[in-house]
Amino acid sequence: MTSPTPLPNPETRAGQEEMKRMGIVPWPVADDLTRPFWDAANRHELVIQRCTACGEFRHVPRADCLFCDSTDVEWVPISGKGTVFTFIVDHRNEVPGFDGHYVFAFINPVEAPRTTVRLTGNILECDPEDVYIGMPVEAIYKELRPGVTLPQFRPTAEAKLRSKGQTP
Amino acid sequence: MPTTKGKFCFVGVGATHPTRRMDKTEVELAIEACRTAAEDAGIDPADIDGINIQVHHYPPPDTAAIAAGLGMREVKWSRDGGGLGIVPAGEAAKALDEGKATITVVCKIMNTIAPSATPRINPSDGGVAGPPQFMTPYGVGYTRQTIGLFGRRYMHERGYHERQLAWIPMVEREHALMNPGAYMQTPMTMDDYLNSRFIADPVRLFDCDIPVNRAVAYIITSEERAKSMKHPPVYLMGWAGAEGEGAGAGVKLYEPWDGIAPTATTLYQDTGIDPKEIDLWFVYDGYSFLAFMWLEALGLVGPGEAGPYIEGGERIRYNGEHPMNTHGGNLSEGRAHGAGQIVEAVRQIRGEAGARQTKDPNYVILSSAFPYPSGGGCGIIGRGY
Repeated sequence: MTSPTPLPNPETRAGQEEMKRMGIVPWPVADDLTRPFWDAANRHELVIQRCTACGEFRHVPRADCLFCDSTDVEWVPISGKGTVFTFIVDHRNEVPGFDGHYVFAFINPVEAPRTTVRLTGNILECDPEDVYIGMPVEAIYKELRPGVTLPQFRPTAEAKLRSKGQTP
Repeated sequence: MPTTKGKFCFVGVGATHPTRRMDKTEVELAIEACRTAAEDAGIDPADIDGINIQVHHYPPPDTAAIAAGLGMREVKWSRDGGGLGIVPAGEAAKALDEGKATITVVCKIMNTIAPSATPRINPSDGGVAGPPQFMTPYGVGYTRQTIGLFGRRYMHERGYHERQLAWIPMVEREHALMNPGAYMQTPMTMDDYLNSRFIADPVRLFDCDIPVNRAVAYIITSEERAKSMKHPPVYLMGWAGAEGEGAGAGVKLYEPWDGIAPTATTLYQDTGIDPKEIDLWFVYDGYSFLAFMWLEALGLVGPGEAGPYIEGGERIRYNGEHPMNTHGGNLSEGRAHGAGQIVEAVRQIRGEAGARQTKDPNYVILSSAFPYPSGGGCGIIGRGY
């Protein structure tokens, strides 16, 4: 009889490397606060919170308003169109489940004027070299595993791509 | 608000040599560093009655074993963990002020087992719960990635570029070459910096601090006790730590400050020291981008001035207007989460910094971790009032 292999310790570097070798792919665990967002994503829709006391949008979801502290909130559908607030191009692939040069960005949705409202996502269907702050993007939806869909983003037709000789 | 202004002094400092291989246990490293600090103070380690052990991430500290190894007669005050940089020094001073101990050692232990905070992925099923659920499923789980997000935005808003930022790692590397206690001992040119590989563009390898195994310790006591010890007292002039949302949120509300961070305003009001009076700028450099952002957040330069100020390196060199991290910093001496800045600040004020000694410094400013969203922590070490 052999004893079961212990799970890797996620707090250590060795544990993270072991998770990579095991082929683990991270996925979001919805909770009471975030479930409306992920349920909408499963329907290929985007919703974010808006404070009903003062009208300010916010994302990521939180219990209270950053601006007026109220806990009165509604979930508002948004178009999925936005602009890149900032981004990185990952080269090291230390997070299990990720390879190559990939872009992670904060996206400001067009519906929310404040840059504190930041959707998260990868920029797909795009050369990482073409991404720029201010690039217009739109949401697409990728199923990660059964019952879990991730909103993602791609450049819109209006985006200016250096690889096509355009100037952002 | 902390009101330990000018009452407490650093009397002893000590550190083990940074290594990449872990050839001693955390407990052995801590005992060595604390004993060195006690010898530097001219005291018997048994007389220490307060102890704060901080580890990097994992495993948790074994304070009891360290206290026993030092032969502490009585442990009146003990604390595990705490903030980064100057904040634990301030909190130790606060405990002394409240009469919880009389002589306290603070020791930070770093290791290469868990050199950084890692993504909280459930190893049995890959689930990510809590705030990181919006980051890690998209491939972000490390501070060295999120730093790039805010670093890029900051540089964009200010119109700064990488050939300005480069001067922070480059000058700190020059300083390390003058510090026998520093891990990095090879020079860094602009080409070396620009060619260092990307971790997460815009963050390069040379923008990140060096993970090492080491322990760094300092001993704090009251001004009266300090005056009877080996060296002239070096004062904690004052400090301020931020309240508000701390680290842990998956998506932090970083906004580059337009003006001075609230904690810095509190620090200058509390100490009565004007930023222009400060000689040495020991801004937190866990990442070069943070040190860059701290210059404006502390009001050391105005918005838009940080890039031109550091460009060329001469103003931030050990013999320039405002030397930055003369020990080589976290970037080149080795990661110590700011404890190394405290040791070097004490040495500079005492006049013990050897080849990298600045002429007659009065005040050193130190900052902790992130200048946003709540302003981190900052403090001033100096010759006294």
